[in-house]
Amino acid sequence: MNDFENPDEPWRDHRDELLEKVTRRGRSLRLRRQATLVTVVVAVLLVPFAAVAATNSRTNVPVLRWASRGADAPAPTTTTSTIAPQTTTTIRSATPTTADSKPPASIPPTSTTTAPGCRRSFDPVCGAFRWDPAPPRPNPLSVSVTAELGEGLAGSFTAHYPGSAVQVEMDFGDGQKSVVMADLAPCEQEPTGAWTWVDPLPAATQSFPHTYAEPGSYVVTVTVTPAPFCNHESAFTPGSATTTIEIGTATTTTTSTTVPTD
Amino acid sequence: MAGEPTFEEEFDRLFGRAFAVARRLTGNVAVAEDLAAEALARTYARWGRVRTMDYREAWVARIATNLAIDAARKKKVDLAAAVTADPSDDTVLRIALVDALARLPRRQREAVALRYLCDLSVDDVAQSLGVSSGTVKTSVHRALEKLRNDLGPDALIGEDL
Repeated sequence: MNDFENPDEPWRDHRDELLEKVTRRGRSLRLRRQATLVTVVVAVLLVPFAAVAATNSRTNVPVLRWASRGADAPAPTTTTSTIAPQTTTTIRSATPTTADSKPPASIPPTSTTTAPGCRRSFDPVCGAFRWDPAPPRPNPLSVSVTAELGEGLAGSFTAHYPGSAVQVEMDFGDGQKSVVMADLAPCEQEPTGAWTWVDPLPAATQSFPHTYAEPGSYVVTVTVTPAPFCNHESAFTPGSATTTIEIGTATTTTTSTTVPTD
Repeated sequence: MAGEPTFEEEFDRLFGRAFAVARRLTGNVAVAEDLAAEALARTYARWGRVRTMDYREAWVARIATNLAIDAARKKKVDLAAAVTADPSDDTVLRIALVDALARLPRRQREAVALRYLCDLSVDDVAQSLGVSSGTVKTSVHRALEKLRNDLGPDALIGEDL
């Protein structure tokens, strides 16, 4: 016998109660379905925005970090001494004047270190991606000029560069010039890894023997620039130092100035 | 929409169908009533779509069947303790049947339920499932083969399709 033809349907005794129960439960299910639908729609609509926001948070918020050397570099000093019969002038070039050479006052320097290879890296090991600006440039140049009475001038320089070949031009002030290349280090590629300079920085001393034909006052200029075959313009600051020497007198007085060339 | 019945108007017919299917599977009046109520609540939640169907009873029966099998699978229904209203129902066979139905693929299970528990014709089952009559026959045939293997050749309906 088919059950559907069975008149014995006990639920009919409380049919209205069942109907109310069913409709109440049905409304609840309908609301839940609608809420789920709304959640899904909102999620689908928000996913592109969330992806853009996540990308922006990784790329558009620079985290400034300063190389400790640049921040802690000693103030430029100029020492002038008179030594008879020799005169030694030591000139420390001026602090680089480029915009990124000093941390802004509102952002204190931090000693945060970054693992090598993490510069502008998305590697999770490196933490959140950050765009590091160029670090402060180091003191580029120290120049020493020694003048010897009656014999001429021996110029020397000490350049501090972050590993590079440099071109040194010595202008003796009498129309004579000397140009040498000093290999402080092989040309390097764009620095990678943490923005920290090699410390101690490479340095070199070069002599420029020269004999003046006439006594008198001469302005000696030493200019150090990146070697033309090294593309390090963005890595450090060329430097120039001048000094005035007197040749042929018992006492030599020197003065000096430093003019960064960029 | 004009011409389409309201839920209240269809309640008695749909609830009766769901209750009958659930009672056949569970053998318990109270449990069958709860399952039928849940099936009708789900129908109410989707009434906007269900009311346009030609085979609303079949739709409700499918829900009731699946609810009953799920309840048995989750041990919400103690089939062994159920008090059968029909003396011809064998409790042991019912337990085995529900268990075997639960192991069938969904399409075969629904086809068998609609065909034998709701007593729908093959064409009605096909329309309610949205498939062809041949597909229903194939599904039911394969389902019966599996049920016979599980329950034994004499335990099942010997009805021909």
